[in-house]
Amino acid sequence: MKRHLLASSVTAAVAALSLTLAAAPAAAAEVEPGGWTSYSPGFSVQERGCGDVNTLTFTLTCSTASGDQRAERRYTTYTGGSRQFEGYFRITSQTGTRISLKQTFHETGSGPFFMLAVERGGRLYAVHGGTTLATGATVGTTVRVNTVHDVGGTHRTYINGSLKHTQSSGTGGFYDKFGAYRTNSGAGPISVVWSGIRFWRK
Amino acid sequence: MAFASGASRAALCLAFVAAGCAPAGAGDGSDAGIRLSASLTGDDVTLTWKGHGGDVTVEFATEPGGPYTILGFVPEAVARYEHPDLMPATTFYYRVRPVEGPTSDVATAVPATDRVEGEDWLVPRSVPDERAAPKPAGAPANLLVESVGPDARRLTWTDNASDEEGYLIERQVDGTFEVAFVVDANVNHVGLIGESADTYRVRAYRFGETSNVVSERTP
Repeated sequence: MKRHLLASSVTAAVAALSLTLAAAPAAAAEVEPGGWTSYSPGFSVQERGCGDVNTLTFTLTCSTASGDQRAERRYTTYTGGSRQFEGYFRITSQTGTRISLKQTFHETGSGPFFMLAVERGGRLYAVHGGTTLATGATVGTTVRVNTVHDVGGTHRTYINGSLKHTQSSGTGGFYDKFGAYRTNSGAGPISVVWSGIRFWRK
Repeated sequence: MAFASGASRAALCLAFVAAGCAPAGAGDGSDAGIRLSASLTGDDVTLTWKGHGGDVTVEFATEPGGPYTILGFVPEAVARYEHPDLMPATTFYYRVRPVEGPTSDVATAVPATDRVEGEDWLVPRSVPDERAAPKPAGAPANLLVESVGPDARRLTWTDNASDEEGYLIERQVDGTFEVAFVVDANVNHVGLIGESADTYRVRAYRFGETSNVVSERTP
């Protein structure tokens, strides 16, 4: 075994990376079927510091290791039920490290509730706790992300179809964010393109 | 026809319809090309394939028409992939595609002769190279691997291909090559930092004929 692929336990000497060069995703069914309704929540674009958003391309242009460096979409708050997010990201350049790509934010609670971040070299990890979710999210790679959030229950994260992270959830208001955001220990530059964004609720 | 164990013929038929019902020998895995099989154990899928001796990409989707996401590059002689801990009550569709194309000669890192500062050197790019002689399936040449700092390598090469999908940057670990990086077509300059190695090769890759599509539905 050389190096595990994203969301995989490849047997024998499987090569390194989970890489997606597929065409831009168009549509996909929700995961964990059962009563989901597709919907399109509203969002606002957040550009702070050296963050730049161009439709679904999110860029941090600087290597500043302090302050609020942010290029994200912030979706509307939800307060109950279940929500599901699906999206695909492809890092097109990364000279920085420890950049948050997707957040589920506890607006009425402790703030960042779940943050999926990437280190230079391709490790995907949960910022709070540091758990490694997958490796191989390097430049040129497209990675599929699904999160399923039962408010007051659990929050589950699937990377390329495999369950990689589960945490319990409190109640209150939450919202989804994705893009590129410098974590406390990170710095840009990075450019990441998201595609195939879908939301469901029940 | 190598049907995926555990997958219904109906599901496979649906997959073929979505894939365009390619004729035999043109990607349906019947008489020629890769014959892909899948089996489901719990919420894990194991894929195996026959009929191709080279490297492949393993790809999945949850809709029969895609989009497909590459799970990994699997080297020759493995012919097996495990996709574990899958989303429940979901139909997973799989295919594999041969990764073809010539590689460069192997190159081992040498110290950089210039002083490298900043981070621009890390960004993949295409730089002018008078030595390039592009042609179909042209092999990359003149690979130079330079050590520009601790665990940092700069790779440059001559792009001689006119039909590549892109370039795979492959590093040697324990005697075998694994994909470290993928860059777009025409790129001939990349920087790597972290998890770098001393020995590399690059491949001007193209996808070969896609395998049959198999599916499994998780409980």
